[in-house]
Amino acid sequence: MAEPSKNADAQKDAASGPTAAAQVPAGAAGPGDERPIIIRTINLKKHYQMKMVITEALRGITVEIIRGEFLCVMGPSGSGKSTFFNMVGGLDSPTSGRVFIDEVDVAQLSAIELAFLRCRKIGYIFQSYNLVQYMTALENVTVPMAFAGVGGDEARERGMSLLETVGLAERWFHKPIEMSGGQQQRVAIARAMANLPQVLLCDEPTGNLDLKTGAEIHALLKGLSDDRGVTIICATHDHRLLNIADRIMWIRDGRVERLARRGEVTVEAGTIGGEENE
Amino acid sequence: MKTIEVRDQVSLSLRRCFQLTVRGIRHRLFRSLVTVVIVTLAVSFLMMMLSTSFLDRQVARDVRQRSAGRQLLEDWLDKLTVPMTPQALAARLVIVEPGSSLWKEVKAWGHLTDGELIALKQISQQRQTYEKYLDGIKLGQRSALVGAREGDAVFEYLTEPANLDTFMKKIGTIGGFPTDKDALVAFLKRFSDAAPQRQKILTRHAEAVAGLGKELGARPAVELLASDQPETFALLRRHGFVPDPDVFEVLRKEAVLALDAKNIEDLLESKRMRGALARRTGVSVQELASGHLFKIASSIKGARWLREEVEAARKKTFTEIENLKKQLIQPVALSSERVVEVAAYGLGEAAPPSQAAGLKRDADQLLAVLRSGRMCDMIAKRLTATGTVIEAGEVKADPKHLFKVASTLDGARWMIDEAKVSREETLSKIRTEEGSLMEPLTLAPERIAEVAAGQLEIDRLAEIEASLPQETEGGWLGFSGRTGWLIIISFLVCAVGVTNAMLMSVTERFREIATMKCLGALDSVIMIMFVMESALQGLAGGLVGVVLGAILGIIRSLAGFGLLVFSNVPGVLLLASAGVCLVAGVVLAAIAAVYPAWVAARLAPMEAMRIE
Repeated sequence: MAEPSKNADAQKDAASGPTAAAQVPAGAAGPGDERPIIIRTINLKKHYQMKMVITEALRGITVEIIRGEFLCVMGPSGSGKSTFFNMVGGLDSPTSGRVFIDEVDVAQLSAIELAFLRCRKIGYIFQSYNLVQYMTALENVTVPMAFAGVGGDEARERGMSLLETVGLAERWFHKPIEMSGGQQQRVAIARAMANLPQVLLCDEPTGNLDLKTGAEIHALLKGLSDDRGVTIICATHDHRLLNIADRIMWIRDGRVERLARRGEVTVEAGTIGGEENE
Repeated sequence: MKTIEVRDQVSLSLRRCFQLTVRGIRHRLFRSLVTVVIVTLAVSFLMMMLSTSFLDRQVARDVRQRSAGRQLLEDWLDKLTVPMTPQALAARLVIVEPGSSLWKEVKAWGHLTDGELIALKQISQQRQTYEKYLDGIKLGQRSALVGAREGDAVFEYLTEPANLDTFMKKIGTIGGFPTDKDALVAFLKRFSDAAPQRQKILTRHAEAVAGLGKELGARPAVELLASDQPETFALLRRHGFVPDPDVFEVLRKEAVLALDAKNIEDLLESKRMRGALARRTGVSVQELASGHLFKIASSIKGARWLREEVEAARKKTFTEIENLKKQLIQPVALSSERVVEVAAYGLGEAAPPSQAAGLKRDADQLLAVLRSGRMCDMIAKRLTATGTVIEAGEVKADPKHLFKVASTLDGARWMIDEAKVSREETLSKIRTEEGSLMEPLTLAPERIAEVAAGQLEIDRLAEIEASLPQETEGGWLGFSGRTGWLIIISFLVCAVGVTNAMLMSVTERFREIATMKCLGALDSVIMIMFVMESALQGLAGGLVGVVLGAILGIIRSLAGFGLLVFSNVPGVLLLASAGVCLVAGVVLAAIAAVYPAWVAARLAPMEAMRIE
């Protein structure tokens, strides 16, 4: 259980640059920030053991994720980004440290409770969509509802309205194989929202999509965040997300390198000036 | 710290699982077929074995019923004509029913009460158990236990305590003995105590058989049974047999049938008939058997032909006898000197008138030998040998040649002897022909056909019964141990195949499973889904397998027993075994899928979160 004083001390130590050895990033909730924390990690460590070799994926990450914010997680491959993701999403358990989702210690949960968590509280979006190939779009969207015990008609209604939200209402009967990448991802998003979760975990949502479609997806996600207050945590390489996210977190070598608010970050890359094409 | 309250149902209902599974199978139809085919193979094998086994049993029962009448006749004939051996007595004692003819007879022969006979029967049944055990073990083991002894000798040997001890020790290593030592000892005592009773029965029975045989004389027992009742009953009772009126009506019919069949079969003894049959059937005379005869006789047309042939053969025989009789000559009742005189007279020598009549008379007598073809032949040969080439026909035509031969004393003697020989030969030929004269076939064609068809049926039934597998005591569901093992192994192999196929399926669907878990599926749900998928495939395979197996089983039984199979199809049993096989198929598939399903259920959802 985290104690507020300890947290504050840790925050004071934080530096804002990439060289920070401290665990707590600067752009976090400062003193006086009363917004509720939905996910909290404390000194999260994870290592994998294969015979004689121990790989340390996470070396102690402490973050607080605020309810309703759009958090972008960035970092090179092998930095522990995916491991961190798994922790936060309740898909894996840490070697040491704690993860609290909505003030609930994930490590204490039984299998059924974990399933409940994944079903109701968290939605997942994958880079490769991961839709069930032999089900229609509507059926795909209603699968989580079935797991939540929602009956046939109500499920269908909610499914249709969700598909409308993502703009695919007229394609409800198509199978994934009949849809483009962007459309499949939209169905996936609708599915992830099926049980109105508090958190949406996006693992490279636009990785397989072209620029234009990717932008649409980003807009959609942003819309969800603004309209419905869903906390969105996105792991990505796409720098355009920097314009949308509330906060950005960099992970390197299993540690938080930097955590900054959108405004504090400038992107210097070779971009073509002016409006983007198309 | 907060805790989660798990509200609502998080586990999928079976119905939804079912729907998902069916959809999944359709998507992966080809891969599913592998499992279906495997299960089909296993189930059809089991079903074929089961249905063959039941059909065979049914046919056996049917056959036994149909040949019951003939069996009864043979039983009675055996009892009436053959003195029982101890083995035969033991066999009869095991199956004798209280109140039956045999029961009363044995009681009378052994001076036993009902109770004593019941006890005797029990001893025989126990004896049968022991004998079955000894027959069931390997020959080497049996000779180690009791040497080369058979029947009663085995038990007499075991009555010695020392032998019994050795026996029991060896039994310990072989195993499977039906009772313990005490029971065996008790049995042996009762067995030897009852020996005098058994001996009495055997002796009295032998006497009865001898007495009956004497009174019957040359008449075969089957004729006795075929005749009408009052006389038969009286005769049998006189010798200690107990004929039962109901049973005897059946017996009489069977006996009449058997007799008529014998009459027909006897036709094969005539060479002429064999020739005719060979010509008609195209089978060579040597290979001709009663089966061919009965086949022809079983149709009205064939029966009529048979009767005609018998008549024709008889006519031929009569004709032949007539011809032979014509050739029969009387012995020459003259002395050789007289023959010379007569021959001289025949050649033209003058004779005094007083002797002329006598000479003429004797000359005629001499000439009578020319009736025999053989005589003419011999005379011709003799003349030819002496230089005059002559044919037999000329000899017969012209008496001069005969007289020439008879004109010498030597020749006369020779002629007298030859005449004797010719006569003997002709007589013996006549006897042969008379011997081969067949009885006329007086049965009507319809009766002939009926009898022949009946006999064919009996022969066929006997063939079938011989080819039926023995009633197996061991094993389950009537299988021998070996078949049972085959089935178990086939199921094991198929289970391995199904497990393999399901593992492949699980490996292919890692991502799908992980996604399901991310969406909130419990481990148990995943497991149920896979087991259910496999069970459904097992159901499909089982259905096909049951049908296929039933068809194969019926075909196999048809091949063995022909249309007899359809007379009495054990429908209920077959349906029951179909159900069993179906369930077996489903269970096989479900259990084989448990391990792969467990692997799938344990999958970590983060497999789906592959960023790379």
